[in-house]
Amino acid sequence: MSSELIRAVNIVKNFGLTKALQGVDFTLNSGEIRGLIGENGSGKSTICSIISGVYGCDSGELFLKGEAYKPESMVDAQKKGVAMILQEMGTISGIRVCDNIFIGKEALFTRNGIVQRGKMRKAAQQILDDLGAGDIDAWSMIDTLNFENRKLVEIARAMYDDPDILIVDETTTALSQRGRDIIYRLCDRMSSQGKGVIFISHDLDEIMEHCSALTVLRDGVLIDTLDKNRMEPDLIKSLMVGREMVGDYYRSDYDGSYSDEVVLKLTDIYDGRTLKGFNLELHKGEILGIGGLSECGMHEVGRLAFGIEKPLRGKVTLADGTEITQPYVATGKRVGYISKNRDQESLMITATILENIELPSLKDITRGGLLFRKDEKALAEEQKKLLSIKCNNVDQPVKGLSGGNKQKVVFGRWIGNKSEILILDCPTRGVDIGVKQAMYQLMYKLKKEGKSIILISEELAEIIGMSDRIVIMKDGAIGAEFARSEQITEHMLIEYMI
Amino acid sequence: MEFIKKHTNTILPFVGLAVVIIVLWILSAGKIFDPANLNNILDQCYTIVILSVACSFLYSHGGFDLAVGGIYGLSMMVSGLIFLSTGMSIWLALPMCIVVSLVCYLLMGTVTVKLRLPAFITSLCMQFICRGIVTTVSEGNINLPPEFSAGDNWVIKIVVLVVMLAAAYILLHRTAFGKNNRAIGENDVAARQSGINIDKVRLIAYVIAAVMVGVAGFFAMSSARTVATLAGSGFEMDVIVAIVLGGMSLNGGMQSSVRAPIIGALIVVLLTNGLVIIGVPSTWSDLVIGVVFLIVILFNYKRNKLGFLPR
Repeated sequence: MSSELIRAVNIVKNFGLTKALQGVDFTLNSGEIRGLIGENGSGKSTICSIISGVYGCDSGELFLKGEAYKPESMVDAQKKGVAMILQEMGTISGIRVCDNIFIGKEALFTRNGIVQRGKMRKAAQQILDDLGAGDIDAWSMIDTLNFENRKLVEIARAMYDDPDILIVDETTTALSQRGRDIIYRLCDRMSSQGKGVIFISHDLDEIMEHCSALTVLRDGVLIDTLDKNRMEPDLIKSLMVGREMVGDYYRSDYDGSYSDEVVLKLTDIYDGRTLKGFNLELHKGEILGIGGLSECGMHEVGRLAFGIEKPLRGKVTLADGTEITQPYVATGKRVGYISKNRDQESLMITATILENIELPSLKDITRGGLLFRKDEKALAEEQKKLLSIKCNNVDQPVKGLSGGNKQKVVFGRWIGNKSEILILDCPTRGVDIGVKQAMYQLMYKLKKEGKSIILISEELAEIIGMSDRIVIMKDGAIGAEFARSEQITEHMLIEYMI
Repeated sequence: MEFIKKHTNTILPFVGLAVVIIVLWILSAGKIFDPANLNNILDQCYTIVILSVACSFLYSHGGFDLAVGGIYGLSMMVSGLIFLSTGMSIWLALPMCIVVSLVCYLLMGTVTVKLRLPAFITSLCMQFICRGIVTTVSEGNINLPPEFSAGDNWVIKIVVLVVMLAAAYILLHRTAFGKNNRAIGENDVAARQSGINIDKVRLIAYVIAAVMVGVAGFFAMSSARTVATLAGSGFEMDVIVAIVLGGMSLNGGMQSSVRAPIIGALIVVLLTNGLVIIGVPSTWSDLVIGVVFLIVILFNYKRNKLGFLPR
């Protein structure tokens, strides 16, 4: 008989006028891996933040193993056995891996006021080994690790406290298969030990495969909790969106044709790390999907193609022979780029929607050397309408928008700049289904207008669903190439990735 | 009420300025605005306002300027010495000041931008270099002949000020350059990925600052008719205080404005000058300003949950 780990009763939380949670009852039993799903702004992160002590609720009660529970901070929650792994970076740079794992707990290894770092290193290594990430050296500097390994270090830190409840907040999105497997194994182990896991993700397949039950939230209300045998993709989607999904999700045709005209060409690119003599051609009116593991070099291809990074050898050229050496050269020729790190690299998060959209197009709307509010407003309003960005007005800071709407702002920036070529690096990461669908339809529309798109993605389903041509990369080289066809499956592609 | 709530950040510095004026006026029994002192205040305001606006172009793109005092002093000294040795028209001293300032700023800007060094460090070095040249070359203060005061004409000065501030406003707020400059301060990675030529924009900001600093130097020379060895020392700090008191973040970004350094500069000058007039010993005035500055920063920081110092 499973016992109750945490019970939340009638939780209400408002952020200003936004009702984040409107009376949510939520129970997690021991041994359970509970998926939590909902569109952006549905309140799934909010409920988890309340449980893990990031902030308090406006009203409602929490019970941890039957006892009243009111965490004052994340540290307090951790002491009581609730740990959360956040979406964003949570490691401290400039220090070693073991220091990160035992930060704030140095007293454990202290004798006569001196930290015995040898012991600490050993203990840290032990935790990493247990996690299945033994290839990370506990003594190495944290900055030498990649994003995925730093995430694993963060998990190791959380696991040292041996929490009863682990909350995983969209962590897997940014990880490769290996990192994901480590997290899945960890979840299974916790479940078999009678502990509980709350698992937030946008990835339906992942949730259906690894969760024992699934709770759907929408607009701050708990819609339903499905057990394993009721988890059906269509049912989940309709519960999330609150209506039947209308129209096509991806594009419906299998035409896959594009012009022979090459608009962007990467020739013999060496980047000094992964790419060794890489060649790629993008054609007019083509959606070129690039897939692979996150370390395969596909993200670098996007950055090089836009001039963010310089190749050691080789060059990136446009149809008219222009060599792209800097992003401003690219944008001057109507090339746009969407980074996979939206908040850090694409958006000016505290600036307004208008300021974000108009940024690359300022030259176009300058008249007599000056900018006029009327023109700026027209540009922003046009994109707001075209992409149906949900906001009060375009002079609102983007930081208040949901992930999907933020991404729409970035799209609007490049459509407003009349981009002929778009380089999209994981454009639908952290974006909910409704917005995803809108973006896929938008890409298709752009293709039909003769624009060219490079779609770099870790989601094979969207590459298969959208691309005219699929390139699978492995270790910095092209492993396989497929033309658009109904026959392509994810398994076919995965074979060439690993 | 709604209006006040929405524009608190804009209104507060004005309120601060008004409070400073009223308090000092009462405490000094009106003496602060005596004709003799008023002239003094206006001269100081003239210089600090221009320097603060000049530097705000650098601060708004996330830069830093600790060299402004040194460059201001050097430009005055060099053109003063050349004037004395050649006997050229005094109006040639104006372009002279601008050229010296331009050379310094372009040198500093190029090193900062092209070698990707922190502006904090490069401007600190530039400050030492300029000060070093001034103290080595000049043997004491340089006194200028009476005809130099032709430049000390308030009609000309006001016209120049208005034109310069208007130009600064238009450049920062109503041109692609200004938007780009502030966008870099907001998020330089995003700015670059939005197709902004970051290096070029930042260098233009240095040029604009240089021209304004040169102009300020010329008018300060003509009004004082002397160039002190220590001219301009400490102005870089006044500028920082002015920008922050005016309500602008030292990190720069989209919220940067021309208004903030102007209001802030007026507050700084009135405070410094007013404290002396109401009889606070000059040894104490720094302390008072330090405390006021700290309180304002704390207040702003808590209210906006913002960071004021460079990341």
